[in-house]
Amino acid sequence: MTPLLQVRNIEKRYGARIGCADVSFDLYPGEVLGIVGESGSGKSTLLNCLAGHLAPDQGEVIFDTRADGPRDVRQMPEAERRMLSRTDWAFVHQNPRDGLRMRVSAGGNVGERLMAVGARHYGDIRETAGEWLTKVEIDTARMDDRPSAFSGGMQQRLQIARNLVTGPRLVFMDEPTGGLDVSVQARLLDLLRGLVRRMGLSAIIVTHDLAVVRLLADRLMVMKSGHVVETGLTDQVLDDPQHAYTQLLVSSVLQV
Amino acid sequence: MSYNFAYLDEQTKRMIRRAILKGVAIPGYQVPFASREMPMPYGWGTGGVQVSAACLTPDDVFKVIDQGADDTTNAVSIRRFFEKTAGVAVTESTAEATVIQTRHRIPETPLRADQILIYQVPIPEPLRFLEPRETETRKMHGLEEYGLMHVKLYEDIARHGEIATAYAYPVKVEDRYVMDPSPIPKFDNPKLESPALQLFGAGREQRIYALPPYTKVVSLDFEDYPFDPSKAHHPCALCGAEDSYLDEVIVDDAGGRMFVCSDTDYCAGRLTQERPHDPAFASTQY
Amino acid sequence: MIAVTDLGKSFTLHNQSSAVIPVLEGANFSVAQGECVALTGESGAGKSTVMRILYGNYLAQAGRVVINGLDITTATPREILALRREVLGYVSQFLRVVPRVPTLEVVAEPLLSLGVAEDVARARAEDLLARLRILERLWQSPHHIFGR
Repeated sequence: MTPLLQVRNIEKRYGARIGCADVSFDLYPGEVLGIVGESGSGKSTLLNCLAGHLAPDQGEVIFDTRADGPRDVRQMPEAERRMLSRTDWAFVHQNPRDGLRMRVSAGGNVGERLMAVGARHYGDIRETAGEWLTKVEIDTARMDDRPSAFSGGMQQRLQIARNLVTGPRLVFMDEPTGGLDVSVQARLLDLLRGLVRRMGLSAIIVTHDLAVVRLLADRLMVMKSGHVVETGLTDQVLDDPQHAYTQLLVSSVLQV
Repeated sequence: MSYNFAYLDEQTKRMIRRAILKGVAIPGYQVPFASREMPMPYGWGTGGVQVSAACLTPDDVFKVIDQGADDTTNAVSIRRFFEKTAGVAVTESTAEATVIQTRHRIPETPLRADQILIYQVPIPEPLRFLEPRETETRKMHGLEEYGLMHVKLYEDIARHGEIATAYAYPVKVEDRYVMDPSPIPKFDNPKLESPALQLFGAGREQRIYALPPYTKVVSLDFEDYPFDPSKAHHPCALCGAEDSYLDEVIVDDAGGRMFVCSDTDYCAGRLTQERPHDPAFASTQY
Repeated sequence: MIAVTDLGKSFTLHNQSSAVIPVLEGANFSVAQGECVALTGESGAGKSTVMRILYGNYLAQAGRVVINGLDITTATPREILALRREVLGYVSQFLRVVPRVPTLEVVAEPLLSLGVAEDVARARAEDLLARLRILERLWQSPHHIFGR
């Protein structure tokens, strides 16, 4: 099987400071990779390099495109890369305000990606948007409301619907359960788990919350000071951590 | 005191002509230009005036309309400006004019290949409503990412049950660039496909764009909500025209109103043609 | 089916002056297909450790564990995941699932991840829950209302 994403020696520096370095991994279709580490460990830098929001200084990000098979995303023309990020890729931001258009209705937010790839039938767009709102447990009666009238949890679910409506194959998530309170987090995690399984999505999730990766991720990458210090099966890394930093990270979590 | 022909110096006019040529070469593309200070405030047509200055020749016959009317303050002052600085002949007749500067209308009388229509444009960027960043909108034009335009129309239908955009209705030019036709009523959109050269000048925003003769111009819409250029179903109260765009005019303190042609030349022309001996209409001024 | 050779396991506590705690050494046994083997011994003898290594949850420091032809001490995470999906089951002392998910779905989940149709997986789960005599009115409730 061809990996969906092959990452080779990604490095990003901010002047003399290392954002991330020597990062390599393969992600297979249907696989969920968690990237954990404390603030400043380089996990968000890495995610942004992979998703094309930041230009890495070196390395390759090879995506298995539908049309032409594996291609280095960094070598693609910008138009193609942006097209990819609207169709086969999705990016869920920690703050829904970064991933939503706050002045556009919920339906319009979900419909945007459809219209961006050429949907021109209002009724069809609306129907699909409605289906997706239902999938993320938002009442379709709220379809014409703006996200500013939604709770934080609803906004995040709307952002997920907006991202998944074009049936992407790879989802990048940056602290998707970030600023949400605990019960809302649980509901969102449950929802994400269901969607990932049903759609056979591949995902890369950056978080500092180990509970999130335990529930969502098949595999784990632990980062410290821009480097990957440990990788493995999620439960193995969390239950039998090998690296000093991972042991510290795991033992720092309050047990309830 | 004497002015250079059409007020602007020759260097500036050349610079503007270069921008115009570039605009003609890439229909619908917004060409940046070094807009000059003009002796009138922004919002009064400084972009259109600079394009007019760059286009006028001593033999031209110049016409200015504001919302269709030749006799409003804005139209009169721009017409006088070029009468004085260029010494060109002026007219109120669409058919007689060779260069027409307009604010917010396209004349009802069909234009010809030997005419130039120059639009005053307040905001040239059709994507501005949803994307405030200029760097981003330019990239969207460059990469032909126009999904956002339809989001705007989607929002219209979701909120009003129909595409409620009635003026500055966005169009796609030659299957490539999405363009703001300036705040003309959508009723005028079909007239954008014309034998005449059409130029658009935005002074404050420093942009020029163009529609060369016979350019394909398609108003954006949805399959199930097709573009509809219709207007209020009234005939003109003065000339009886049913095919022209109408202004609503309040006629008394009791809220009495009537609908009359916004194109004053068109209306007056029909009146003198069809009812030449009706004194009540011959003296009407509006 | 399962062959364990010279299996050894120790924990290195890097944050406690790198103390090394040996928990398992020179374990050898094999399990044939259809065989049921019990690991017994007193608390702390290493029974759970062996089980966890077999499941890929703990890494082994020495030896080999071959399950269904795959040496899981050197297998990639992807291979172990496939093994877990298709070959291994694990009945834990504790259940670790998402708090809000109904019991029925928890039970149906492994089948769903194998790609079995939703109604088939649910039917199978219902069948199993019934055979384990779990009251039907609890099937739709979140699992945590159960005692352990």
